[in-house]
Amino acid sequence: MSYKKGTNVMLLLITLVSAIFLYQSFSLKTLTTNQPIGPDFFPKVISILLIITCIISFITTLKKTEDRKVELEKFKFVIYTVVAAIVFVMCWQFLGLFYVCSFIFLFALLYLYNNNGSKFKKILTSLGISLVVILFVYAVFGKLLNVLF
Amino acid sequence: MELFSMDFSTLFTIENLIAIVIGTLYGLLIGALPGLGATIGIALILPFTYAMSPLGAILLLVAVYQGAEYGGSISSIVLGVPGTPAATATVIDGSVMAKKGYPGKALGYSLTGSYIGGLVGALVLMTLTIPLSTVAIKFGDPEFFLLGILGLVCVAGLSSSDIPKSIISVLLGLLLGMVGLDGFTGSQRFTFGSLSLLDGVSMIALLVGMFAVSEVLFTLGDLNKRYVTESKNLKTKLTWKEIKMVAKEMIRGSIIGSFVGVLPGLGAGPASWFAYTEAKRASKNPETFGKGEPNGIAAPEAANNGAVGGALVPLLTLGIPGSPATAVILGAFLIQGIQPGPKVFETHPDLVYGIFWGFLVATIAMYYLGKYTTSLWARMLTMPNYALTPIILIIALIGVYASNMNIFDVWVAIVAGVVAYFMKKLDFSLPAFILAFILGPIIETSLRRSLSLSDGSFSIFFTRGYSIVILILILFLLGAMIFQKRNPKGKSKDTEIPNL
Repeated sequence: MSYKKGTNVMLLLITLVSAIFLYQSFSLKTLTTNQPIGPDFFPKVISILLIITCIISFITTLKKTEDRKVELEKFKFVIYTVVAAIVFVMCWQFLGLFYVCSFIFLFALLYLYNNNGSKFKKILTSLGISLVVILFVYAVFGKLLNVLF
Repeated sequence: MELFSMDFSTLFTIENLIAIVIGTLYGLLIGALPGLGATIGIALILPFTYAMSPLGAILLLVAVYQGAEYGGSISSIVLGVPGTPAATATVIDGSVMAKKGYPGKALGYSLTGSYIGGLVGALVLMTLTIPLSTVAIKFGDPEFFLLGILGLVCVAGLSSSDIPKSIISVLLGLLLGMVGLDGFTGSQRFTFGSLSLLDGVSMIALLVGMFAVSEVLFTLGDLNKRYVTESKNLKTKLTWKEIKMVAKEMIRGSIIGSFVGVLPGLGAGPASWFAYTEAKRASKNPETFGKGEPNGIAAPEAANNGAVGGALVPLLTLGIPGSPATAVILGAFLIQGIQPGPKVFETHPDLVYGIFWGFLVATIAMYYLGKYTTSLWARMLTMPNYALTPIILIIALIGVYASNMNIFDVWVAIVAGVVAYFMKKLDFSLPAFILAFILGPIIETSLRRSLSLSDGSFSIFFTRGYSIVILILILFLLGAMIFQKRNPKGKSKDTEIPNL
């Protein structure tokens, strides 16, 4: 990923977010009369300042002559992990089977990340570690802290 | 002196002592593991404090903080990879001394430095907090507004080399801090119809997402890296002669660290760099630095532990955290139903004095536990990342859920983690973002209350004694930043602080 391009995309996204906030703050009603400034004042000021700074940063990034590459090491692992986390939380939220879901999630990541040894050995160690961790979660969060999952 | 008249039996309970011991051991481990620092360590153990007493909870976290700052030097020395961002300066001389065959000596300098730093930090905490809080109790809304602005100016100017990006991070944090029900009018702001957002975005979810989840994504880059450790000669014993040799720099580093820790946006990382550069500048033989100079280990290590005590000063006196790690500790206070700030000295005196003395006990515990367990942690460094990363991820997500029993917060943590991953890659400042998020509501509320008091006149901010002092400080800081920006020549290469 190019540093300049990455920065510009990020700035664009932030500008978009601040524009949404700015638009929304206009619909905030200032019903109270005894307050010199209402709930819309601060959001308006901040989002306008944010848009201005994004433009300034955009210009300073453009002015910089040298560009560099941002290393996204093993980016496919980042994608796998985020997707796995999303699937895990969705299963947890909608199916409810917290312990089963988290066991599968943990096992999948451990298996995916490990590139040492044979397939059989990898499955065995991943299963072992997942089991110990989930038991730990059950004992500490489920029993000791009384968290209802 | 209430400090000495506190009931010590409330401090030396079994729960508190166990909290200190477990916190220290866990802090040493998390600090020693490359990449994981105090903030992640504190955030991961936070859910365990929900069922504890307030004093035990805070002491556990403070012990983790203290332990992690020393623990970070273990991998800096033994592996040559910094265990925490604050232990980066220690790598320079620490790893060279270890390669020469004296890893134990290097660890000894680090441990002694950390110990002295921790003690000086405790002293600064005890002596600075009480007078500051007696001033802070007189502060009204205008002062708190200006203090918030002062904090933002500090973090925006100091936490990243790219000033526009730092300012963007600050503004973005402020914007996100406004989500939720407006306390004055009851109107819903930016909740987009979601009930979960009525209370605002959860601070714990945001902290864990930005500092633990994003760190997990970062470590994916070197999943199967195996570190080679030097596990011989790990005895940390130093002779008197050796201690005397580094005593001066250790004390200087401790003082630098303690005061740098007080400033918002700086904290342990920059403190250790300042101390290292200062030790090198003051040395008669600066050429020995980088070649295994003991002062190059003792000074930064004293500074990063000194910063721990310093960082607690603004949190306890003003209720304003100066760093991400103290922000998590603020979270622990709030979960216990206690708002830190000048009033806490009246409402919970035993808690505050308990934290003071407990902090001292935690520092002593760090020294002795560190002394006897360092070689154990050095061997643990071979723990492979592929196993550690998923475990940290799942514990982090479960911890977020446990803080509020709300699955929405888990989503917040995941989104925050992904956003923070890219922000960090592109040099945006995460500490600036998170501090602005926390300071935002304080700033807005005090601004609106001040203007109500003054009937809308802004003169209230420059007609009060304390306000004027804070205003001058803000202007001075801004002036110094602009001056430094215009005269970059004075900066030599090794005073540059890497982005945090």
